[in-house]
Amino acid sequence: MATVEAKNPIAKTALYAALIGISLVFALPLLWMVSTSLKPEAQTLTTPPRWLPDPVTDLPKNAIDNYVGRTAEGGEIVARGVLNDPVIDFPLYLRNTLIVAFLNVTGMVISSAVIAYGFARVKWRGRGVMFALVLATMMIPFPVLMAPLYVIFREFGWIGTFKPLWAPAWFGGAFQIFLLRQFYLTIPKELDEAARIDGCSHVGVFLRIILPLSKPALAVVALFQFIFVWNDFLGPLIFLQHRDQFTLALGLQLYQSQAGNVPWNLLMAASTLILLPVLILFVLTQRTFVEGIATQGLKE
Amino acid sequence: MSSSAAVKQAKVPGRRFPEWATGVLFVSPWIIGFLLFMALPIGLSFYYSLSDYTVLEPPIFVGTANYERLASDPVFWKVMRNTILYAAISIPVGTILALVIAALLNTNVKGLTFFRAAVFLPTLVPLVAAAMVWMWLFNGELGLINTALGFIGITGPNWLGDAAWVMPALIIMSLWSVGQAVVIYLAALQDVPTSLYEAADLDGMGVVRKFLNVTVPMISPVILFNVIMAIIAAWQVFAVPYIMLGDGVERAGYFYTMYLYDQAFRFLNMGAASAMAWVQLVIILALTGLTFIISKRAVHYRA
Amino acid sequence: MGALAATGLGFALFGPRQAQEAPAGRVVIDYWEKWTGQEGDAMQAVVDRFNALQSRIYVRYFSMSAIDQKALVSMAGGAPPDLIGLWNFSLPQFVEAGALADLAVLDRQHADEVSRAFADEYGLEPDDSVLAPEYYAPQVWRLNFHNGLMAGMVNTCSTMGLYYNRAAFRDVGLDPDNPPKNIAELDEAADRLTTYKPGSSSESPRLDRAGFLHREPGWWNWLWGYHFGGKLYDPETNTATAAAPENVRGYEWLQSYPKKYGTDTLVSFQSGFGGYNSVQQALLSDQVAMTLHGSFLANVIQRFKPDFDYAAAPFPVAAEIYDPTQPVGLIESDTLCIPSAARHPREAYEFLRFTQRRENVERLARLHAKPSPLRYSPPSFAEGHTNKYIEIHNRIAQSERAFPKPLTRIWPQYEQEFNAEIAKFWRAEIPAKDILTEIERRAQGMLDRAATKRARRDKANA
Repeated sequence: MATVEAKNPIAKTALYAALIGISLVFALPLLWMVSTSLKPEAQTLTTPPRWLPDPVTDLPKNAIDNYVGRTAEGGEIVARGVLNDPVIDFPLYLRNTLIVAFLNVTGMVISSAVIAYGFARVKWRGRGVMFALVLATMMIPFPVLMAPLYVIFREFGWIGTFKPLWAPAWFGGAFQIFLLRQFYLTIPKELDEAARIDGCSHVGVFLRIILPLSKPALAVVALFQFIFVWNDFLGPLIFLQHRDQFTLALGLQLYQSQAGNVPWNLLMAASTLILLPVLILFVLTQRTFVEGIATQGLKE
Repeated sequence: MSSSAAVKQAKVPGRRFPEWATGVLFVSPWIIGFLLFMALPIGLSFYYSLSDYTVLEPPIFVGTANYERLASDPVFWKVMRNTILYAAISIPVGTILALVIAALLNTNVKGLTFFRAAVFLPTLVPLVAAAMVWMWLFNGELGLINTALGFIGITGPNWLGDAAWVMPALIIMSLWSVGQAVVIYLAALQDVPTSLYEAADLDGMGVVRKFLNVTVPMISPVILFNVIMAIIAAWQVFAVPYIMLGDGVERAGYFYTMYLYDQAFRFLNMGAASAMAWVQLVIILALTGLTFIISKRAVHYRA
Repeated sequence: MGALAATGLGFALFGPRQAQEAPAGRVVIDYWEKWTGQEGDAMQAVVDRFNALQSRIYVRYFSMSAIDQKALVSMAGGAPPDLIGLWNFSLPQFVEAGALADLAVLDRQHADEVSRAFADEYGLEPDDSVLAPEYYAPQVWRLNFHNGLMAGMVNTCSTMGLYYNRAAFRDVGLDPDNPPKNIAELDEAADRLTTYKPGSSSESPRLDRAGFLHREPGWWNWLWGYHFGGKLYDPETNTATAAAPENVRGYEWLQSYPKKYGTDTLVSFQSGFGGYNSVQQALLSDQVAMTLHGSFLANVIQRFKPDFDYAAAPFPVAAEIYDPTQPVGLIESDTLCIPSAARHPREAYEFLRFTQRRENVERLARLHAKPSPLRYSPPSFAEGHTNKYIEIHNRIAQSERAFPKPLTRIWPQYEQEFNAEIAKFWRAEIPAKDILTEIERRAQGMLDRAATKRARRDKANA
C-alpha cells in the first residue's frame, strides 16, 4: 500500500475541500432525482429550481402520491404512484427483470466458473490460443452482433420470449472467464495436486477445492452481471415485444414515450426505485465490489 | 510443461479421460457459445452486408453495394464524425479526471469509503434514468446547470436544443461516470511501491513531477487497458443520446450505434446495418491494435 | 449472492402473475394497439363488447409503445399478432415487404358469413355497407390502400387545426370569434399575442408567452409547405419535391419567427414547456396563445382544465390558396391491419368488421375526441362531443385538400431528415431553400435506391 501523506495543514484543507467539492458535484444529479421524486408534478418545472416541495410539509404526502399512489374511496385514482400505475406496471417489470436477472446471473456464474477452470487448471494443446480468442471477443461490441443475433433468435423461435436475454449467458462471458481464471491462478496448485494424487478427478478438484475457495470471485461475477442485466436497455429494446414483458430499464422509458408527456416526478420516483436495490447491494458489498472492479485493471 | 503433465498423468490412476479432452470439455460451453452467438452472427452479418435484406423478405446478394452506399452517405459520415469526436474528447479528459481524483483519494484521507462511493455511485444509475436526470439538468430555461451559471453571471446555452452544444453536453455527462475508472486507478496506485516515492523525494521532486514521472509510468498498463475499454464503449454509445435527443438537433447527437439501430429496425435496411457493423468491427480491432503498438514503447510493464 | 437473495425476494413478493386468460374453447386473437390510458380504455370497451356478444372468438388487447418497430420485429420474427393497429403512414413499408394481408380478399371470402353471424348470433342490425368506399369519408378511405392493396381499415382518424386561447385574444383586442384565416393574419395575431417577462431586456429578451410557435408540439416538422400549397412527394413520378417553391415559402415563413424573436430566445423559452398530456401543456398553461394541434387536445383540456376558454379553426394557409369550402389540414388515420402471417386471419377479419360498425366507430371517435372517419355523421355525433369544435375537424376530414403524410416506403427516413434539420431551419442562418434542396436531394436518393431494390427484388421473385 502506497498512500501519499499530506503533511502540510493547508494542503490537507485544500485536499478535503477538493474531495468534498467533487463528491458534491457527483452526487448532485442523484440528489436532484430524489428531490424531484418528492414534488407534485406542477412543481417539477420551476424557475429558479427548488430543492424542496412547497410547502415542505407536503413532502410525506407527495412521497406517497408519487411512489405508492392514492385512490379515492370510490376507487378513482387520485395520484398514480409508480407502484400502482394502471398503465406502467412497475411491479410487473420488476418481476420480469428479476426473472431475467436470476436466469442470466446463475448461468453466467456457473458456466464461467467451469470454463475458467478449463483455462486455469487443465493443460491442453491450444489452450493459450483459445484463451487469447476469449480475450479478443471482449473487443466485439454488441451492436455488431445485434442484427444477425435477431435473425438467429428468430430461427430459434425465441423472439418475444426472455430467452435471448439470458440463454447466451449460460455459455460464459469473456470478462467473467478472464476474472475467474485470474483468481484460480492465485489458488496454490499444491492443493489440487494433492487431491489429484488422492484420486480426485478434475471435476472433483473443481467442485471440492476450487469452487469453495473462489466464493469471493464468484460473488464479484454475480454482482457485476446482476448490475449489467438490471441496467441493460438495448437488449430488451430489441428482443422483447410485449409491454407485459418489459424490464425495468425499458419500462422506465415508457414514462417518456407516452405522447411526449414526461411526468418528471413519477419518472424520478421510478428511477429512484430502480437505483435503490443496486445502491443497497453496493453499500453491503462495497469491498467485494471495489476489489472486483480493481481486477479489471489486471494486466496480462 | 508437457513433460510434467505426462508425469502427472502417469501418477493418476484410473483416468478415463485424456487431459486434453478434459480441458476441451470444461471449455466447451464457451466454444459452443462462441460459435453460436459470436462466430455465426459475425459470419451472417458479413453475408447480410453484401445483400439487400429487409428482414421481412429473404436476402438478395448485391455485392459491395451497401459499403459503397455507406461511403457516399453523409449521415454515415456524420455519425462517424460524431462518434470519433466524442471518443477523442471524452476519453482523454475522462482519463485525466479519473487519474486526478484517484490521486486525490490515494492520500491518507479519512472517509475514503465515502468519497469513493460518491464518485462511483453514478455508474450504477440505469442509463435511462441518468439520461432523464441530465436532460433536465441541461434544460435551457429551468435547468440546474444554467441556474448555477446564472449565479456567476453567465447565460448558459440551450444545451440540448442547440447543435453546437449537444456534444459538449454529452461529454460533460460522460465525465459523470468516470467512477469505475477512478476505482481501478486507485487500486493500481495503491500497488505502487512506496520506495519509489521515497527515492523521488530524495531527488527533490515536487508533487506534480512525482505524479508524472513515477505514478503515471507505474500504472500505465492499467491506463492502457482502460483506454481500450473506453474506445470500445464509445462506439456503443446508444441509450443516452437515443433518449435525450432522438432524431433531433441536426444530428449533432446522432451516434454510430443509433444509426445502425435505425437502419436495421426502423428503415428495414438490415444489409446497410450489417455493413456498418463490419466497418465498426474492423475499426475497433484496428484501433485496439494501434493502441497496443503505440503503447509498446510508452507503457511500462513491471517485471 | 445478494442478487440471488433479491431474486428470491422478488418471486416471493410478486409471485407468478396470470396474463389475461382466454376462456377455453375460443379462438384467441391477439390485438396490438398503440393506445394506453384513456384512449386504450376506449378501445378495450369495444373489445369487451365483442367478446361478450359471441362465444367463438376472444380478443386480447395489448397496448404497445413504438408500435411500428414492434410490429416489424414481430413480423420479421415470424410471430406477429393477428391484428395490429398501425398508423396509415407506416403502411407502405409493410405492404411493400408483403407483410400485410389484403383485406379485400378476406372480405370477398368471409363477408356474407360474418354478416349472417352479426344478425343471427350477435343479434345486431345488419351492416352491409362497411368496407366500401361509400361508407367512409373519401380522404379517409384512400388511406387504407397502398399499391392497390387494401392494407387495413381505419380505426380512428385525426385532422389537425389551429387551437387558440380565446381569453388571450380578447386581452390583446383580437376577436376570438374571428381567428386568423391566412398566414399574414396569423403573423399579425401572433405578434400581438407575444408578451415578454417583466425585466426582460432587448439584449436578452425573455418571453412570457409566444403568440405562435412552429415547434410546439413539434410533431410535424415536415408539413409547413402544405399550408402554402406545396407537397413533399409526387407518387406519380416517384419524385421528392421538398424544394418546390411552395415549400420554400413555407419554410421561409417558419424562419421568419426565429428571425423576428431570436432563435435563442425561442429555444430557451420552449425548453421550459411541460408535456402534452399534462396541465403544463403549452396552450393550457398560457405559454403559447395559438398552436397547431389535433382534435384529441380536447381530451387533455377536459381532463386538466375543463373551463379553459379555447377555440379551434382550420389552420391558416397562404392568402392566395384560401378557400373556406376546402380547408387544408393534415389527416392521419389509425389503421387496423391483419399481418400476412397472422394465425387466425378469418377471426381477425370478423373482429375488424365489428369495429367498423357505425356505433363502434362513432363511440371510439367520441371517446378519443376525434372526428368521424365516416362519410355521413348523424347530428348525434357532434352533440356533447368532448371537442366543441369537432365539426371543424369533420370538415377537414371531408375536404379535398386534407393531406396525409407522404405515402412512400422511405417516409421514416424522409421524415427523419426534417426532424434532424428543424434546428437548422430554426437557426435561420442558412436560407430555407438551401436546406430544402439538400433534403430533397437526399430523399430523392432514398427513393431511387428503394426503386432499384424493388426492381431487383421483383426480378428475383419472378
